[in-house]
Amino acid sequence: MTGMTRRSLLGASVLAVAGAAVGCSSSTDESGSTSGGGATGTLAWWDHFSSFKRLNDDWAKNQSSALKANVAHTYYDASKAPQAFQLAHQANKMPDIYSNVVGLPLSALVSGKWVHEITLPADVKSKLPKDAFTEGITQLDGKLYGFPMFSLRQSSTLVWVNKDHWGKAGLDPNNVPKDYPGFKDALGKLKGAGLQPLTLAIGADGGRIRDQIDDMAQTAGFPGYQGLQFTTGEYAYHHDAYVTVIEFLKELNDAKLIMPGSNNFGVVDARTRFASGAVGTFIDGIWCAGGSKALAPPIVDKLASGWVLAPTADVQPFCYRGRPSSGYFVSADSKNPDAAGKLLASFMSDEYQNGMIEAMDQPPLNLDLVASSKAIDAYKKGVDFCKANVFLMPQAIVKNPAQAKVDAYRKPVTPHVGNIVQGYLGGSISDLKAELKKLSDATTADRAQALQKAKAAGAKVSEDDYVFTDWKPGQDYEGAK
Amino acid sequence: MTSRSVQLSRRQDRRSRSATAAVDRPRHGWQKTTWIWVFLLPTVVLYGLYTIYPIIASYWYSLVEWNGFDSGQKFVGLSNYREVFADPLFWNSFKVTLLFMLLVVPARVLLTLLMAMILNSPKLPLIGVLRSAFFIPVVTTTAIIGVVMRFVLDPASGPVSSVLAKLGFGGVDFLGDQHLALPAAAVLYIWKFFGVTMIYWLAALQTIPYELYEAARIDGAGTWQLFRHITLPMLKPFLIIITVLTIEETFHNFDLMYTLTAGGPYFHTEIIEIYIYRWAFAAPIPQLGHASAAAVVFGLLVAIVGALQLWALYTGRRLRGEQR
Repeated sequence: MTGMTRRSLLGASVLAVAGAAVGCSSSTDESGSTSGGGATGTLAWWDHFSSFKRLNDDWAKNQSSALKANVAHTYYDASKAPQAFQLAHQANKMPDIYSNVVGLPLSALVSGKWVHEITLPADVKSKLPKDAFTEGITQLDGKLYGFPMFSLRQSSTLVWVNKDHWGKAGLDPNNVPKDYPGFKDALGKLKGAGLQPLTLAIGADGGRIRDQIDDMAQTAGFPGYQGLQFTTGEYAYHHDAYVTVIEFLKELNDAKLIMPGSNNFGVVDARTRFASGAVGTFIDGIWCAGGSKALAPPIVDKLASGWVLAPTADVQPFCYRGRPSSGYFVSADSKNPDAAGKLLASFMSDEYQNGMIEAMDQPPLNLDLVASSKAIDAYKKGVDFCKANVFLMPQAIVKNPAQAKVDAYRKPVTPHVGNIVQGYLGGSISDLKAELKKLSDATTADRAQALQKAKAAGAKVSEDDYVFTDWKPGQDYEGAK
Repeated sequence: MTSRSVQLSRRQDRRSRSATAAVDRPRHGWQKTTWIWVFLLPTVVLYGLYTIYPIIASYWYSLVEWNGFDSGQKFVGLSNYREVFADPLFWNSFKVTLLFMLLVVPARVLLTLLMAMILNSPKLPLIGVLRSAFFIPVVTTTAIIGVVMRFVLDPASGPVSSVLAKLGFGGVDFLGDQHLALPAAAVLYIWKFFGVTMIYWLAALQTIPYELYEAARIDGAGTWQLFRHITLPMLKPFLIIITVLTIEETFHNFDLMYTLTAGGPYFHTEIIEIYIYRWAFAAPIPQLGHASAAAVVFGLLVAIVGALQLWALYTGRRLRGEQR
């Protein structure tokens, strides 16, 4: 038998590899031509909306026939989506439409060639609320780039309860206390009944508890959003309202009314405990019903909801949020922006909007459909609360769209409010007010450096853009557009 | 002899003559090394792409302001380094990283030595099974261990908590308590990588000639004396190398720490790798310049340990030479 020498083996290997490479390249050419052909017939759609995964998969099939194109929907986990989008952008492989997880201001997305102008049919535009499109947020120089999906009237901080647990503790789940003393008493009764009273997502990066503290500070009387006072334009995280809210959580924690481990829970950790019935109460967003259903479907029938908590029963729990941000973009690389625009327009159909409501995630722009939908009562109650108590707030970027340049230069300020809550509840921080004052100063300094850089880059911006002396509580801000 | 065997014999003669000619022919340097480089090429290319290039790129990124999403990279000189050095949370992460190393390394080196000595005994039954048992956590994905351990240590419903509750110590929040989180992570890390260091020690122990022990026993040496006068001196060169290797490994603990605590509670377990990740990927607008500057500083720390490693290698060889 003739043995194969090392050289002949190597030679054969080189030939095989070369053959494979040629084979691959020809196959690439073929697939390239296929996708080229598909460029006119294929529409790639990426998003990070977990509650809408099934809805969007079905909608992609539905629209494939309506648009006469192969609509391919891909879901990305929210934590992984930014990196996936970043890589796709660098490789010029962006999908035709994608959800807004990049986090850059619109002006940076336009200059970075991330987005394409969206063309919507007139009948679709007429269905959108009057505040849906905002210069600097969804459009630039009058051109529409971002498609808003969700209503501004929503909240991250509603009280969600397990009816079984509350029933066992002798509490009425349809009458969840709205003030701190009543809520604390209810949690005490749950504990007395041998049940875990409350969980919160305090851990991970602290992002969720930060949002919730911001909301609760508003119902506790803070006249602003994320530490920024509307009428003065100054940061005041050390305002009494923030101190009141955090001290209340500390009180609950010290009374052992918060589930052990919550200090280390991310959103999914806390929601999993609630959805599985391990804890009776959970402070979560309006999307809690949809998110919990995805984790443990039987929980849906046991859900009841309450309001954003306020220090006393006589306080109106008013909250303020900004104009709807962009939910979806059309990629600058899209070979078929017209079809992409039509796909986005289809999201405004009653059928899709109803699908969104039934998924019970963030409420859609058209809130009027909620009452007659198949969503559970607890979700409808949450939406009703938001319709009545969440108002449009003033925003510097609306007053002066050049503020987008300032936003692009802002840097993360750490520790933020969520971190401070974690530190205060865990015992790492003893002087809460001093720590909040440090945060106010650090945030002010960061804004100053961003303003300075934006001015140096030619933007006409000033600190006055943040001042809204005509703001009034309990109503939508209509002053600057 | 048949005609076929004659033909074969001639063919072999020709082959042997041509082989001798090939050996006699002078070969240039490139001819001698060509095949070496051909075989090395895949490694060189992949190492260059996935190790050398990112290192060089991170040095460049540390000098620019860039969010990673757009193409605009603005050169800012040493500004990112100034910000990193002025950030108390960077120094906190530096402290946490060193503290974690101090918690892990002595325990890992000494406990594994002890276990290796036990598992090196020829009289111990089921040695293979026991060695494998200690190695199983090493081959298990670290992130999965982190996630599973969060359930195991859950203060409300985890099995550890249940046992402690029965013993009268209810609700110990190992990963959420500022004093317990880092030691708890250190214990899990030691358990996870116990097998690796143990294998190093087992290999080291097997270099000690068994005759030395036999001779010492004949001279009346007991277990402690055998350890004190034979095992320990013979293991000294390995001790230095294993310690330095363990220190270096301890600096790369992102996956376990991130899945266990994500740096919390309140930055008490935020090692430098999590600090870098936070600035690079968890910020609303990623700050790759700041993150890269922190990574370069961290790289220098690892490089110092790398230099120590070289020194340890050299010292180890010298000591082994002296022993011979």
